[in-house]
Amino acid sequence: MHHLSLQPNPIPDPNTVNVDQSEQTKSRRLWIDSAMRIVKSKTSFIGLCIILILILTAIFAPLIATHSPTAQDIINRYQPPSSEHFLGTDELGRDIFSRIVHGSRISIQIGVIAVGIAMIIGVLLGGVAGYFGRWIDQIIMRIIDIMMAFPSILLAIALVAVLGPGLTNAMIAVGIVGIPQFARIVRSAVLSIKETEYIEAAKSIGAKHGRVLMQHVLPNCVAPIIVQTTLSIGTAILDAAGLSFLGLGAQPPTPEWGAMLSDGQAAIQNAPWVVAFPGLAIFFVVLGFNLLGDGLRDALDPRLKQ
Amino acid sequence: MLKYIIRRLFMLIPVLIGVSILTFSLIHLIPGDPARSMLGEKATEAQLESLREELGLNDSYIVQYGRFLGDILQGDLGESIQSKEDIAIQLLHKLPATVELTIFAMLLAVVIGVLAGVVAAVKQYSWFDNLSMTGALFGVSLPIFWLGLMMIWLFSVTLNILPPSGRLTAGVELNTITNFYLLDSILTGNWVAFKDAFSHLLMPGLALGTIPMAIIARMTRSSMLEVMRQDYIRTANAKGLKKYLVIFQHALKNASLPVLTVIGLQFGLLLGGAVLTETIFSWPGIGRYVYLAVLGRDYPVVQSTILIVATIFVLINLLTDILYKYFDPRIRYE
Repeated sequence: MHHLSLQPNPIPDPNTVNVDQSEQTKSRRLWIDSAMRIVKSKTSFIGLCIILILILTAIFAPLIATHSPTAQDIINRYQPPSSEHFLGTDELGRDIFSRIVHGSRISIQIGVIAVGIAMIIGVLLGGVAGYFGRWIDQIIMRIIDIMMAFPSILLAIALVAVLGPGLTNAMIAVGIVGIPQFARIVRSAVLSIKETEYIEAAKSIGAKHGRVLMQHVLPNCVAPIIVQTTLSIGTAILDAAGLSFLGLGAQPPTPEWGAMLSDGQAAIQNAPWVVAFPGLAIFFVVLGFNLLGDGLRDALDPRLKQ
Repeated sequence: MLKYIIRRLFMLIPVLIGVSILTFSLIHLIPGDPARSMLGEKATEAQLESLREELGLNDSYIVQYGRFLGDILQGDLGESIQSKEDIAIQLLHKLPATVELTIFAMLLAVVIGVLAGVVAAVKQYSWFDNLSMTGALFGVSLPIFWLGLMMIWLFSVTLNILPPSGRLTAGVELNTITNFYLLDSILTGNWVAFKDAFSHLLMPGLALGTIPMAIIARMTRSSMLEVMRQDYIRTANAKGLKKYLVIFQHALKNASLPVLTVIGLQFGLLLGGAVLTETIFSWPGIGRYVYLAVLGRDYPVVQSTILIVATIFVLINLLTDILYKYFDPRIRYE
């Protein structure tokens, strides 16, 4: 289904895979073409820009922030946006702009760790299920079916309920509920790839299963994995913010955006900015990942284009 | 068709057993002593032992699971640690509120989503197409808890036209029959209560329905565009059929299958989304019930609620599959 990167010809030696020069050039060309398509597409370019802004904000957070994200100034609580406090202050007089800027680091952390957990476990499970088939496939996929029998946010809430509230546990919970999607996507990609000639060739010259799976099959599933990863980061940030909003994720005084919303909701009557800006930050970042994810899907596999 | 339904129902059994094992295991995932976790650090050893005895935590894992499954099959979901109330009765009492909210949200999502999708496809690349698809893109990225709060700020605090929380204004009388307030007010001819219940439903319904609305709009558009390219649509147009007949009778009918799948899937997901929406709007349904149970470490309530929601979710997915097959006989399942 998704043969997008290296597709080596029948291999002479299982331990030294020589990829044909022209195939390599073709493959590189494909990635360059895909990158060009993303840059040319207005929406995915906007998505890419939003994500770049997020990354730069996270890197240079201490330089961009005008105040300490946790410094309290009770006298100046609930100040509306001004030149001193760009986005106003919260219930403890903390500068909302600076908290949002520092919160970008937490969002990236959530995206990387939660989606990392989902991707690593999901890809391995899906890869093994699709490659070995039979009872291994049956067992793994039934477990995945059971996990998918729960609405994801509810399963995440249940997991945090038992593991205990906190940012780390929230990331683990969001990661676990993301596993089934990766597993299913990779399994279906592996099912079609494992029937191709070059896999048969690798097997016929005695390459071990582990090597065939890790070196030949999974690298050819990269395109759908990249698309799913990008889309999953947006969902993970949204879910983790939801958990923090419910008081189950990041705990005070962490400047996590969902937790900021939760802290500010009591003051919505008099100081709506306390709620408005952290929510906008979540929205734009999730939008960025969704735009880029859609663009990547169209660029890497035009057949999936809706 | 009947054979297919029966086979699918049989296939449901292992999934439901798996769901029950996973739900049962939740309490055993608690790091340390579950009884200590539920009663807190100040609990005496006697209190802890009494709770362990009550929940059967001293028995072996297999015995505990057997009892758990046996109780569920008899409709006994245990009692809440905090309120000592029967959980099954509580859930039965709160479920109509969630179902009413979910159906209302889905109705909004389907009506607006399908209409927007159809118009966007028929007028492809028009300003409406661009506007509605940008809106749909924004919709899937919105944190619904934030949207809910912003709605409260705009419609309740600033404009003062919609109530911010609850299902009915205090003082408004309603004789409940089914616990679906809109339905009850119609059945009893109580239009004051109907208007009041409707106004309470609007904001949470819209907040909960936004994401499915956006997804349905996008799916309808792409599915319609696909169908509109078919020869039979060209034939229908060529023979001079009125445009609205071509669109609604020929195109939409054929484009509705993928949309139906999305609706089914989203319907189940709404049950999960209800936790956030119900918390924001103080909606007395099972979403808020499970949230309060999580905060109070009332694990039997958490377990039972999640089990019930997962079962409903699985059944909705099954129903979607059956409907899909019913509407498209070309689909064959092995």
